[in-house]
Amino acid sequence: MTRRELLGEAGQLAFLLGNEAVARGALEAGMTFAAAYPGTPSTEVIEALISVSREVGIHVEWSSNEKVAYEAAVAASMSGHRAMAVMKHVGLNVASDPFMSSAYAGVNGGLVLVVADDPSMHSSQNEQDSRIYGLHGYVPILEPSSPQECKDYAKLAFELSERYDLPVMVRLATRVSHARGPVRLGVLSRRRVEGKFLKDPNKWSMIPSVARRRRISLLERFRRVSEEVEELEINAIFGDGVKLGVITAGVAYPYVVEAIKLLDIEDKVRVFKLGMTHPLPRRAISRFLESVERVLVVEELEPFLETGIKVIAFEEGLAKEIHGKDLVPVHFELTPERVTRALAMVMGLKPPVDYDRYEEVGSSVSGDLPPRPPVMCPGCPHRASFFALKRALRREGVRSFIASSDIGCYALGFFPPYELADMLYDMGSSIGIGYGLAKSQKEFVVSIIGDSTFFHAGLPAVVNAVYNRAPLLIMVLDNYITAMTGQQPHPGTGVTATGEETKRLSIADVSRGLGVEYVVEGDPLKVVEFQKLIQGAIRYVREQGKPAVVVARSPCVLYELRRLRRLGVRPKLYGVIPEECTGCRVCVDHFACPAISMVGDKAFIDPELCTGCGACTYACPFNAIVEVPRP
Amino acid sequence: MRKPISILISGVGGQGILTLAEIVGRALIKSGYVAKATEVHGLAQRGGVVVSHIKAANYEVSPMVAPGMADLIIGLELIETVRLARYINKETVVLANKKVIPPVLPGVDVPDPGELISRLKRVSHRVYLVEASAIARRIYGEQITNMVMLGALSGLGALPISRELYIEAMYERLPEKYIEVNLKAFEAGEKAVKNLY
Repeated sequence: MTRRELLGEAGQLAFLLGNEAVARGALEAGMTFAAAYPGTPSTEVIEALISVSREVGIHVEWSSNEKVAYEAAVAASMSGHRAMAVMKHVGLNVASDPFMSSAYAGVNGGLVLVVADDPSMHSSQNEQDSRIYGLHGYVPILEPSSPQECKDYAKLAFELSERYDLPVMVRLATRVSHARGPVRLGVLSRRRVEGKFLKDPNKWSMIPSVARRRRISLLERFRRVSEEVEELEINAIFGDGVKLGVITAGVAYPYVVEAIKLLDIEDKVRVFKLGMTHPLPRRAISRFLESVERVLVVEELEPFLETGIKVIAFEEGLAKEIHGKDLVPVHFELTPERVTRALAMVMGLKPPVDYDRYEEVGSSVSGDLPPRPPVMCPGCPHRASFFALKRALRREGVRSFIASSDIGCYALGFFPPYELADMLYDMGSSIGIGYGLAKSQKEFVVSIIGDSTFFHAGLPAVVNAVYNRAPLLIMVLDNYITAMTGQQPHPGTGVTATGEETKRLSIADVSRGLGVEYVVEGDPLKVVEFQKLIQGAIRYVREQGKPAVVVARSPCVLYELRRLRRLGVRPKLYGVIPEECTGCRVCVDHFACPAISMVGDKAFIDPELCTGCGACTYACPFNAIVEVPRP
Repeated sequence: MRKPISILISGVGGQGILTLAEIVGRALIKSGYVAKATEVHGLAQRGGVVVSHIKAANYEVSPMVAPGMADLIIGLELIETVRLARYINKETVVLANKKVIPPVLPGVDVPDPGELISRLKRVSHRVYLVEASAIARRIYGEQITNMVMLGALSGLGALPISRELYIEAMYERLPEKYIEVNLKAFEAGEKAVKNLY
């Protein structure tokens, strides 16, 4: 099992996810403090560390957001810990404020930022190339290409951080984070730190006079990295062909290796694989450019290396044909066919496989298959909340309204029949944008936000809506955990990442504390009662012109089913009384639980899928749905 | 070797695809390959499509399989097996569980198994079908369908992996208390596929 392998003996060959390998590398480096906010594809780094935290005696936490996580890691570094903050690309936007200052101040114990990009947006609202933050912040970047390098580079990152007095970024991407591969384990560190802060305001306090000195110091520290990167062993050249030079890094590297094999051009190509992609080794790149006839830069997302390399070529007066994003698309993930095509093109060869023909045949064979789009799980309390919300609005005569949604499973409310996501930008934006809409136009506005997201970035927007007084209905869907990323605890859960009991922050209390005067909470699975609560809040918002908060409290069904299984309790089961069912389709078309379908002209509940939430009993206008015994 | 061994495993969330992929990946490593496994799926919800890509060679392979390049498809559900048609060439071994899980969409037309199988036979000469879900149900429950498929894979000999190494990888990956029932599933899968020759 993975957990056993995470603490495996030196020399052992483990089979780890890239993210797990990062965790192992940190343990080999003697990292003793890790903080993060969950986000795909970065989450497993911390989950791996949590699974061993007690045994190895390190601090691991889910912080309330990435800014706070990064600040906590900065402080642990100040206190002498080797510390790590982990996040997804959009998390770094949130953490960018302390990130920029952290390079000015530098470190005491090694400080490593692990950031995982999500090209193709498998589970994100945008694509970002986090390397651009490294460029912006004068933070060196390491880009591992395999689980083995994830481990090795994570360890190296701590050493480099201390050597240069700079935070170091380890940049991952989905196909590095979520690829499982062989990892030869190194020696686990026994280094444990008490933590002691030595005052040095001239290093840590960025008042303007200090910041100006640290800015100069930052440029000097970074210049030293730029000098020494020329000798760094993880920047390596493979092959001795002269027709084509490929410069690549990280996730792109194995695609390049494979394309060279498939095209059978090993004797014509030489590859410069950069382990550190910022700063670039200027002299080594110049020599490489001179050694080959033409150059192809292969990288995922933005032309980060390409731009830097073109600048070097220009400044060194090297007139060289340099290809990059003209042949490798800037958008979405790399694929073997994308990279093979680019190499074939630049070498004047035909790709070894007619990919287009397979795409064509494939779509003719499978193009008309019914899709399997993401849907909210059977028994998901969000469905009941949505159903109650729409009915409450209708009952209160709100014919048209605007629904401002947020980051979480409830973003699936975008799809019919709910259609409750008229806009969606970023964590907490449902309230910030909902506020702006309430102030800038006349239609009724409801903000829909999850519990973890509310704590993450919703709070300042609530304050603003109270302060600037907006008629806004804020509906918080509290399912007790951070569901979408795999059920991590948050400040409203009552336990920490490592399972210790702690204060459970009540969203209703927090909202009252922030000045919201109308706050109610209820169980959305009791649809009718809950709908009435929402109706009361709608009336308040319209009459008083102030924000109201409705908290829908019901656990994520996956979490609840696991709890029931542990208790040995079988979930309830509901069924349709055929004689009572009129075939009106309200349950199928408006409630739309995956467990309910029409069989002939009657509704049918699939006992394999039903989780016993019972919300559909309220949805049925003819009381045809009742609890039945589980067979 | 130039072309890496390319494998896709597909099905619906909850069918144990990632566990199966991890065991196949471990077995490949034990057999001396550099293997990599990665999955493609949507949000963390039930009932979505899951596809796992596994590749192996004697060099650092890339994580994804390219169109037309699959050597082996292991399908735990027929619709999701057919959906991988673009990866299949005439020589691709397609090992599929004879099971259809209808998508949870109102008013959707679900193709019947026979029609789906004939679509698979249009793209590959080497389609093998196993009643893995039914076999799993007879032994224990559908949770072990993935290990019936692993046994079928071993019995078919479609990969350069010995029976012993598949089993070693199972021991490495599965909780001890479930090993016995999973071994039964494995053996039943082996037997099921023997009848196909």
